[in-house]
Amino acid sequence: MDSKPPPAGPGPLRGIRVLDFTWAAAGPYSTMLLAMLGAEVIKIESATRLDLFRRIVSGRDGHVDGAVRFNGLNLLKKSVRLNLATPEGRELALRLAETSDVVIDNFRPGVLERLGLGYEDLSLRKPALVVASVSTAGRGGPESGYPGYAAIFNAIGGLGHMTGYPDGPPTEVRDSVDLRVGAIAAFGLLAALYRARRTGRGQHVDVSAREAVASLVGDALVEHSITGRSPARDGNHLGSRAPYDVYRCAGDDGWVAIGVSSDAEWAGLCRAMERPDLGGDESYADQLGRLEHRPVLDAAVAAWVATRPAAEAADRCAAEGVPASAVLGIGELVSEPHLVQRDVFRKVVHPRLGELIVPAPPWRLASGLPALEAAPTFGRDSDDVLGSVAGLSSEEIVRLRAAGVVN
Amino acid sequence: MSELKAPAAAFAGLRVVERATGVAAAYCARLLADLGADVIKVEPPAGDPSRRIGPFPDPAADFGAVFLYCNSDKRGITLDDRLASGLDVLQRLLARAAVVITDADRTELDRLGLSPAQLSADHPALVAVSIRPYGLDGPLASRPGTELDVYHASGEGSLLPGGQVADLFPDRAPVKAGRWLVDYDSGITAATAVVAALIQALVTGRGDFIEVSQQEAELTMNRLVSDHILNQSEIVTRSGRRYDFGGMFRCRDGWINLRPNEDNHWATLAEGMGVPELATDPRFASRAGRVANAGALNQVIAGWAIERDAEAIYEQLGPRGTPVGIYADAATIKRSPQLRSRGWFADVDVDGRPLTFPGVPYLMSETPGGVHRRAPHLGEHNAEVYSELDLSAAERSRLREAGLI
Repeated sequence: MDSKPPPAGPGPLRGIRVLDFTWAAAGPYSTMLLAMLGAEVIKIESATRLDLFRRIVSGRDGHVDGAVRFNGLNLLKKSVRLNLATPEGRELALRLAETSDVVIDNFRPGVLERLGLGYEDLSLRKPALVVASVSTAGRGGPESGYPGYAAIFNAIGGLGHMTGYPDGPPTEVRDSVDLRVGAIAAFGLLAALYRARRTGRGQHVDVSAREAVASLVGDALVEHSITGRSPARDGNHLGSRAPYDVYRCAGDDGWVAIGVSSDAEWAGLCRAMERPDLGGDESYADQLGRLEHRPVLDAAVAAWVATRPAAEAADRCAAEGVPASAVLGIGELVSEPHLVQRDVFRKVVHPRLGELIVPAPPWRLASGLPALEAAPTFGRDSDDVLGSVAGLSSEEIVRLRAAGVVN
Repeated sequence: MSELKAPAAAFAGLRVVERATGVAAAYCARLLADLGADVIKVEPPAGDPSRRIGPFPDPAADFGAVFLYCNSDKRGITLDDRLASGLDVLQRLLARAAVVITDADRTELDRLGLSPAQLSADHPALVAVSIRPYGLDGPLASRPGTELDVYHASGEGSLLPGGQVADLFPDRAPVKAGRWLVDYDSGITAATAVVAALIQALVTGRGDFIEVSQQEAELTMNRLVSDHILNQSEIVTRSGRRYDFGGMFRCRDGWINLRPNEDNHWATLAEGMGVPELATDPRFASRAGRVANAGALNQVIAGWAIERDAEAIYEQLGPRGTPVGIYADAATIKRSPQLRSRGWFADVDVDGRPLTFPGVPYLMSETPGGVHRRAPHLGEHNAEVYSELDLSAAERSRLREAGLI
């Protein structure tokens, strides 16, 4: 079976236009997912409010187009410079919104409303618009205006508390948390778009990053309701399963994750370890027994893997039906044969940064997805979009640039 | 129907067949059910093994916390699709459905009539999604997988729990994030493409076949970090990974996170700590200064935080506009005034016992989603669902004999 993805296609969202006021990470990841699915995403930017990721960290040379971090979340988008704080800039944004299906922002609640670009203003112009807003705590409520970043969402959403060693502090899960929020926002927005395409009626989708993260530990909240106790972080364990952990292997920082969830998998692990004595021992035959003797079993697994490279230990487990993997570092992922054959890391050519490696879209569609393209340079598409979409003449664009509207 | 969906729901009238076990596919289907889809969860006669994960609402229950969370607002049937008659019923379910969610491998998909080619021929308008630990194709496609190995195969785990914790426990193993995080991440990733394909189908009348590898769904969440490592030859290690300034601080009773990125953030923090003169202190007033003097800055914050309780700090700094986060456990989340004022929680009757569920994290102004009905018991909706299908008299009598109707 060919493990390469299907050939490129226009993507299922071809013909959908997204007006994108987002910046930093959560919002841009949302709209990048839409772009990967074929939507036309027009990112509105401004020199007076430069995207955090264009100005902070990781620029090779401090240039607005020099940030790898910005590239990675803005593939396949268009960039238009527009100063929304000017009356003409606002009017142009409204004109672009009229031609769009979706408008999305991740400003603090109230910012777009003050600019006259809130949901009320937008839906007045086009009732079929889906407008999504992503913020730390959502609209309404005493904490509505609170600012936040990935590490904050991780903390207040409960993921940080649920991550780490049982006898240690909680964990700063960082950048990835923004992307999780972005993925959840993309789903809510698309659900509203699906309904809008069927009924012609738009709506506002108000996404709270805190709620998004809390929904990723949702079973812990249900558990609390059942037991009356808050579940604690428990390292790599999962409930009463054993052996179920990450064990040190041969090699520098070599670790293997092995998770036994059933009696059959326990039998498989005993075969892999060539330990019929353990497999035949009645005291380990069921999950409760294995939990009771967890230290003994963990020691047996640890001893078995200690002299083996992680990949070899994982392969032997998998061959016996036991879920296992080496703990892979990011540098290792790119050369992992499975991921290489599946073409998971792609190259895009960035006009300033040259060739860059980026992960492929997280799905394959039989109908195909657009080939990846690097993020736009700052304002690359201003003339094109203001001309062909907003209907401005080139003289008008020159005037607006001089007037600081296209900035 | 045991309960009619509100006609205003975003996915009202959308039928979904979930032929999968475990958490990822169930969560994907639940996201659709939250917004009004009629999800039929098809289980083998012995039931989905994830029913047997505790804690349980009562000792005899056939579902526990994670199953309840991932299967609300669905209808559940049992179906033995190892039998030809079961395969026939599956086809009749698919004929009425807009979406099918599977976790089977290629061989099993072929046997079930769910391969991409077969679906395209038999049910051309159907959107199918496959969610598997390592995908449908490739050298590891047939590997067994659970949340632990898949998470650690995605790259992020190699960097957790991070520098501050590594200082305390330098020799310990990398850890996973959360409990079922990789399954939830895969579910939401898959659901996003499902809705995009449904939007496409409104135009073209054609369905699609979507494949999601959980490993890839998880590694893409970490792409900001992989972009650094792969494109800037930057060395990022578990023990070295920490914020240049700010981050996690110990309080009297717990932990707090502070990220005064912007100058105004720092000013509000300095004021909140009762040292407003530090707002303009040249060591800290600019971001560059805060990075250069991170040690001194962190010392000021740490000394202040350790004498206070986490919730007091959150209440003191939050309203000022300082980016601050309390490390919330389940109880803290449940009593959050913010979440309560947004009406986020849902009380669901689980066989006479009211349990509190988290709501949906996208508040939709016209078609609000929500959690209304507990997960089905095994085969709870057999009679109801089978009676909706266009079955022959012979099939009906066979199902009756099998105790399914």
